[in-house]
Amino acid sequence: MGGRRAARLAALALAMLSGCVSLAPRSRTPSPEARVIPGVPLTVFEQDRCGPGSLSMVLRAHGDTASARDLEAVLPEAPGRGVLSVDMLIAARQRGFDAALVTGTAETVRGELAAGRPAILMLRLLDAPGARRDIYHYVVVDGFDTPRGLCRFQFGDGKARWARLESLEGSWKPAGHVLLVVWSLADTDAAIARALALESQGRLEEADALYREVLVVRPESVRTWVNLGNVAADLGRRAESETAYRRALAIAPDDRDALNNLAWLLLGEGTRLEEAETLATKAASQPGADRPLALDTLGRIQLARGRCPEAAGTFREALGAEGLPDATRAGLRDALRQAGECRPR
Amino acid sequence: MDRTQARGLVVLLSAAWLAVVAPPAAAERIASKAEAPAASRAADLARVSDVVARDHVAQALAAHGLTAQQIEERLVRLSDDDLHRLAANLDQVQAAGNVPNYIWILLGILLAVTIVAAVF
Repeated sequence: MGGRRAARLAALALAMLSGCVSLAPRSRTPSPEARVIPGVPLTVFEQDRCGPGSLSMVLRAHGDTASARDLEAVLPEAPGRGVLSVDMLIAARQRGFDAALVTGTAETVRGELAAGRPAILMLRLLDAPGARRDIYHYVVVDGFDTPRGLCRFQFGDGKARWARLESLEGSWKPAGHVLLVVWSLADTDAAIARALALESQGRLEEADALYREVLVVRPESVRTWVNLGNVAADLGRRAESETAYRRALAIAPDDRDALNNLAWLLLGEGTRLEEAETLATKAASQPGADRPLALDTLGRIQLARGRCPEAAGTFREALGAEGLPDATRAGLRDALRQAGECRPR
Repeated sequence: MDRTQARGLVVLLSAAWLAVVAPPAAAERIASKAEAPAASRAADLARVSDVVARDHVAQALAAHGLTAQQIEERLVRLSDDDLHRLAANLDQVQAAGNVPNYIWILLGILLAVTIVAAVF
């Protein structure tokens, strides 16, 4: 092989390497303020099993005892090799965690780390010719250094790499900036409690944002959908409120809170009273502490539809409940009086 | 009819309308609540209404060589929101790990070519 020809080949090879292969970033020195999430030791992924390895690291930080080997059993290998991002998500949920695949940003990553939760990024390490031959790799981000704008990454080689998130942009972007976030159930419950407190303090926009954050990792939470609907209603966003209540009902068609509050919303709107009555009737048919409120809603819908004696009967039934708060009792008495005064249509 | 009489009529008609049509204003909504312990955390989330998103994700999974049954097993465990997010960014449906051996061979060849070029 002539020297010139070999040199051209080498140049081509180097160009291919630099263009197609993303290497792990060089680690920088963190500042003394750098923080690492406790419970995430430096780890070597066995035989490049980055799926089970990275998931095990993250779950262990939340107190789970699953080893990478344990997780291998529940993380099926995709036909083209490797572990699918979707399977990582499902496995985290199967282990009893709330989790989601989200499109990550610097803000999302910082938020997770600030809350003490490591997260998993998927990076494309090699852009190979042909379909589905690219090489992807899971890495764990488990520390941050605010003064220097660095995050700590574990690529599974037992080394900690402090680097800017932007330095991974070239390999994170082809994977759709996918970020697997994992919350313990206690984390999610605490977030709901914080949102409730914000709501009760009238900090509705903040409560709205926090409920939405919860719903990312716990999308099937009927309570949170209802709470979000309540906040949206208080903010005057009727369409969003209706959507949230309907999402709750899509998950739990018999949920009284969702049935009642959607009926209540439609009553306020005044144009879909038939549907409102159907919902309220279903809500009021269920026993429990909030039944008088559902009867209250039903009675007011009947009143709005001009069925005065029926409405009066419904209010009387609600007033017959024991332990009603004074305000509710007063409201029901007022409604009963109006039902007595109205003329049937 | 003078102005006072007209005003009186308006008030009377409004009161009559309120008595006949409008519901009392103080209807109560059921307040927001905390999550009941372990409530509604179903493993199977097969309540998918976003059929388009479901199809897109199914196609992305099929492109990775999964069978129809394997795809279904995954889809039933994803919520509408999961599917919607993934369908909006199908690059996120990838498999990672297990670097195939040919990559090391390829890199070895490239390295050898580079060394040859440096020597000659």
